[in-house]
Amino acid sequence: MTETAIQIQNLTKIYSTNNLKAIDSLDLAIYKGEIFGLLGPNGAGKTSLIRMLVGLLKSSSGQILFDGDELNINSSRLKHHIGYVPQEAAFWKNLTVYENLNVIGTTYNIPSKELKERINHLLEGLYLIDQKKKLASKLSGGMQRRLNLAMGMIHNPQILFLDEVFVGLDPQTRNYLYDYLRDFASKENKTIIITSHLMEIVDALSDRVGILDLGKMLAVDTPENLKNTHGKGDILELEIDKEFDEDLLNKIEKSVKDVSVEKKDQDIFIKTLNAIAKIPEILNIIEGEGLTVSDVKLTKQSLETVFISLTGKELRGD
Amino acid sequence: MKDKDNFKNKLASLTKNIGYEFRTTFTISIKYLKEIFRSKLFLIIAIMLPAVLMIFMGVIFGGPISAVQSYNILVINEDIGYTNDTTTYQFGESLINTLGNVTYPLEEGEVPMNIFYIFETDVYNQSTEDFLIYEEHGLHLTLIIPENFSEVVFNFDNDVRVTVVGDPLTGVYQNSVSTFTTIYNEFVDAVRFSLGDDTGQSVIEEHHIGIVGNTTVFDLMVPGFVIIGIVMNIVFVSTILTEEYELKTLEKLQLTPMRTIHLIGGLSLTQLFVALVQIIVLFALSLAFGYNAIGSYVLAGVIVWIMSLSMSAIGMMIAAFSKKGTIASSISSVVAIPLYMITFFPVWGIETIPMFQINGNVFGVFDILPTNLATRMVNQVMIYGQTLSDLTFEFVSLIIVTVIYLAIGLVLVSIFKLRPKKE
Ligand SMILES: Nc1ncnc2c1ncn2[C@@H]1O[C@H](COP(=O)(O)OP(=O)(O)OP(=O)(O)O)[C@@H](O)[C@H]1O
Ligand SMILES: [Mg+2]
Repeated sequence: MTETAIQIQNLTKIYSTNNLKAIDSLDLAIYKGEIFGLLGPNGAGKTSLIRMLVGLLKSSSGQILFDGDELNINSSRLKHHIGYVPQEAAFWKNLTVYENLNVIGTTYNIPSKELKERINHLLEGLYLIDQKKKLASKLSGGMQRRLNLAMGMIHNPQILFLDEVFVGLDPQTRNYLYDYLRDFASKENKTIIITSHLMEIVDALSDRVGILDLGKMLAVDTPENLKNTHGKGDILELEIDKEFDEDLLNKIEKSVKDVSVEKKDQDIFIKTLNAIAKIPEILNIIEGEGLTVSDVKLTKQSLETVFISLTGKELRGD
Repeated sequence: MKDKDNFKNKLASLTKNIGYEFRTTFTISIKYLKEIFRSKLFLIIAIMLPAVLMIFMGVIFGGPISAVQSYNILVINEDIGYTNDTTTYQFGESLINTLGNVTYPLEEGEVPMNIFYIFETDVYNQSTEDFLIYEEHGLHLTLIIPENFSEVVFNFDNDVRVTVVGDPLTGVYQNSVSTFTTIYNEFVDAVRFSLGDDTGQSVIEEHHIGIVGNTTVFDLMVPGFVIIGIVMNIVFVSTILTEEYELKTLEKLQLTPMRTIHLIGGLSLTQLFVALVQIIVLFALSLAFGYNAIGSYVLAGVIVWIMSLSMSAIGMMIAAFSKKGTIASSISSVVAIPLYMITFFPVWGIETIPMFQINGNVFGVFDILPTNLATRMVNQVMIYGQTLSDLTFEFVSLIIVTVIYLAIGLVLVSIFKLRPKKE
């Protein structure tokens, strides 16, 4: 289980066009057979990282090792080994769904008969089989994303990189993909690196999760451990209609057990376990100061709360 | 024993590899073919545009030639005369004079014009003919009067024979022969009648060759028109490759074990197919508009076909430096137009500057452009009837130049389009 599939050492990417450090001295090990969830707000560097790992983007410094060998994009063995589904769907518009997959499959030297079977199998699973003979340009957006997905998986790779593949899929396809990936990783001992904004999916799917922000890995652990160490329970967000000062925060912290309180603009952020039970008490204190709560938002302890407490940002910003 | 097995394994993996190379290249080629034939814009640019141009120029400059009313005739008079009693007859000479004196009035009151312009020579000499054909582009007919001409004319019982040499594929030849026949028959009849009797026939032996053509402006321009179609392929090759980059499908291929050679090979193969269609359509059109070609269409086609590969190479070079399909197609047009104009330099009489010479064969500065080299070669084949053996030097040059272009295209695409992005 702890055999390393990818070892990333001191990896840095600085985009020369705007001198932006998208990945900052990153160290990370990804194990064989695990599903690794990569979480991070928009612009965190997730895509940049994955593109370097699959050899499409040149790193500024650092090393990427696959099975102990340094990433060599020209190695045919490595190319058979890895699959990548990019965030933006790319395909040949003037080819049919089947033809698109056939081109990719052929370049992997999959024998024709087997290739045909694999294509049909994948298309059935992705509910695309009825669109087989349709030109890709004539597909709906969601179907195009499914085609994009199939193109990255047709050669049954050992390590699969998926960048935001759950976006734009209907629940049916999402479920299929979820099951497929679970199956894929557990039965065939394959490695999956996946980025997603859908916290619940990442939470449920991943063996380990890495939280990335501004090119730095803030935390890497199993979802359970992350929640326990960084979660600090639920997050209660209260919007106050008038100006208030630090005194109010101190009062809440003193009166209510085990809470940490922060002020952000007109909002009070309260981190605590079992927040629901404490709401009446807190509201009392606030109203006692002659203030009114205009809005309440409760986020139950989850990866989302971990994420917010680590990055100070909400994930679903897009 | 072990060595043998080893060898067998190696052979098996080698054939498997070759199979892979072909299959991949072929698949990519088919992919491009499907893409372009499903795009109407492409068909318009690659096939319709050059075809329309050819038809346009054919209507202006071409057309079956029948309006020519005077003919350039080369005469070789081998007649030694005939002496009867004390009178010597030179009927060959008389025939030539007769031909030279026949005129036709255009309209009442206009100055009469000669029907035949006569060039005389002693021997049937290649260089004379060369001069007339190559320099004047105007020889319509060659007449050979035999040694015993006077003698035969004098002896009524015999058939009088002369030989005419010409290219039956040209309309002007047919016209000039029929005019000549009338005058010749009248001449023989008149002479024999004046001598007393006429029982023999006057016979014309036609000797057909494929060299005495009548070159029109259109003829000189045909290779250029065929080549413009091919030059257009720069646009489609560069655009399709750049779009592949722009729309990120190239990244998809980059991730697979496919190598640059498969991509370039596949695209070049597609281009070759398109070029073949263009060559057939354009030469067929040129023929329909009265192209007086005397050489091998196959050889001319092969020359243009090889040349077309360098157009895909230029397309690749442009794609290597373009990030958007629209930019690639603009750059291609900017490159294609001067490239195309330069192919007409020889027609306009602009001489090339020699670069080097091997065994008397000159390689000029413009020959660096395969379009120019090919235009020159096609003219030599089609107008002057040269064959592959006459053009060995040019042929080898064309292949070398094309290979160099392709190599540059391949390297540039590989460096600028298929390496991990630096960004
Ligand atoms: N080609 C580029 N040139 C310059 N800067 C870039 C380039 N690509 C990305 N960036 C910048 O690098 C940072 C990381 O971008 P990246 O796309 O890796 O983020 P991400 O985590 O994938 O975001 P998202 O969730 O929106 O997909 C961003 O600030 C982005 O603006
Ligand atoms: Mg991204």
